[in-house]
Amino acid sequence: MKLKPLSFINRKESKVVQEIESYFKIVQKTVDGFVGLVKTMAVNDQTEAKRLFQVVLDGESEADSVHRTLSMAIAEGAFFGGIREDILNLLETMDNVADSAKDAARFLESEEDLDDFAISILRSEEMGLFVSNLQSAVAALGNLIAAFNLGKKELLSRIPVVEEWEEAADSSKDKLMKRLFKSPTNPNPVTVIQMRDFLFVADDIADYAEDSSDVILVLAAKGYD
Amino acid sequence: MIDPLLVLLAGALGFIFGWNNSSLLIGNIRGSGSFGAKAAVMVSVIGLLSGAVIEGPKMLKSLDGSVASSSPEIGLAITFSLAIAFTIGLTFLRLPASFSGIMVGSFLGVAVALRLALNGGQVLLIVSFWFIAPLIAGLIAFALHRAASSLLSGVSLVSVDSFNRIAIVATSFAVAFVLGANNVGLMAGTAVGGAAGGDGVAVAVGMALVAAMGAVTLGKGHVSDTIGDKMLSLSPQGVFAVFAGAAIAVIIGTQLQVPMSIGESILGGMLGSAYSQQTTVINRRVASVTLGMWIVTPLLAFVAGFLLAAV
Repeated sequence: MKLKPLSFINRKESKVVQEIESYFKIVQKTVDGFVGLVKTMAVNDQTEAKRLFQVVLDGESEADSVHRTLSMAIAEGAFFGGIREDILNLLETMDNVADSAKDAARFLESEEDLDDFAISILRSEEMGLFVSNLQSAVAALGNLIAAFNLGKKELLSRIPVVEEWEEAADSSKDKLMKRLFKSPTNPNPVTVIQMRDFLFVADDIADYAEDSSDVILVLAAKGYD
Repeated sequence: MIDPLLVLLAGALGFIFGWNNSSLLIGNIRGSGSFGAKAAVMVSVIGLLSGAVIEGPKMLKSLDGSVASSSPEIGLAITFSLAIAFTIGLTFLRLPASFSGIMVGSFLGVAVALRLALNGGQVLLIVSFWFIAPLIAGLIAFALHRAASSLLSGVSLVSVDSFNRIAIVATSFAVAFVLGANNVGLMAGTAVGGAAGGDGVAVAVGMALVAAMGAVTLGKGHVSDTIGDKMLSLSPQGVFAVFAGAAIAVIIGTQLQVPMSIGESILGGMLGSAYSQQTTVINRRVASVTLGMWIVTPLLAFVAGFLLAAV
């Protein structure tokens, strides 16, 4: 709920919150591009994979640019006293989400000819669940950011949801790790190590989404007292 | 007739007073992160001036002519000199000086040494109100902090920020206003010799400007660090509650012609505000030292005033 009588003095702050929401959409678009890339690589559609890889690169680049502009505006402006640093921290952790999506995408892009074992991992049910959990963690973060307009109770109630999806992503990552290292088919060790690194970096998407929710918790504690 | 020496001493004290209280007059509004230096200075100057003009006259006879019968000029000069010395010393030690406590303590010491007729009832009222004021501020801060937290929990973050911005300006103005009314009024009244019935409003206006200069030129917020940040951490709503509670306590004291240290009321307000929250961490050592200083300094000022006047 917004206090309408105060709206005449909070135009700048409202604009900042709107820009944070827009910034999140860019981050989310980057993560969605990454998830699409994983699915495309699983069916070995190289043309679509290249397009989606570019979507991820462009999204991350746009996120970087908006992050920089927004951070400067917040740092230079005289508003959000007491929580300004936390808002800057939030932008930083959100940027890390987009960075992780790009870094993870690079693992797949560098593997022009994924071997059969790697493809089987990408096609696996666990991988589908893993990337879906990553997407859900980021979506939960978006839902949390939207609660900036709703009040303390709603904000606090949405924080654990991000953590739940992050834990779900962790759990599906663990299953994928087992599949990697306990495969009966004797896969190429280089492929195993590369896929392991890919999983770690991809999992950072959910980890940074959770970090963002932690920053929002601090922000809520300070802002609402 | 106004003694130029007393006005000079009062001016010097006013400048130091502004320095010692700079964190309250300017540091708070700047520290909020919501306003720049110009806005902070403007609020501070307008608050000090309006307080000195509107309510300041009530304090012109709060010491000389109220606590004791008319003091000779040497007595008032000793009072100012000691207040200057104590305030400078405590400011350098980064401790909040109970400015009014020092003034009252040294004036009483001088009055006893010079065997002036004391107004026991007023002395009792002043000393007892020094203990009551922090309680009043604490209760008001407790209630205001609770009310603000409850009111704001259901609104957007942007609206909370807007509330904080308005509250910080309003309470900073209120604090500057009561400092102008009570403390600047006290200094001006003592400078013109309250018992002699001198017109102190013009002097009060001049002193309010001098105090603002002291706050602007020398203030860096160290005293605020001591009574605030080191003791406990307060949210913007907490600061609003503390300052509002303290300002109300001081304005009540002004109506009773009681020279007040806003620091004591702020300490009470901070405790009230802190205890309105579920979890509170208070640095008890800093709180004890601060409280102890406010009790010890008037006594030391009394002894020093007595000895100097006797000599």
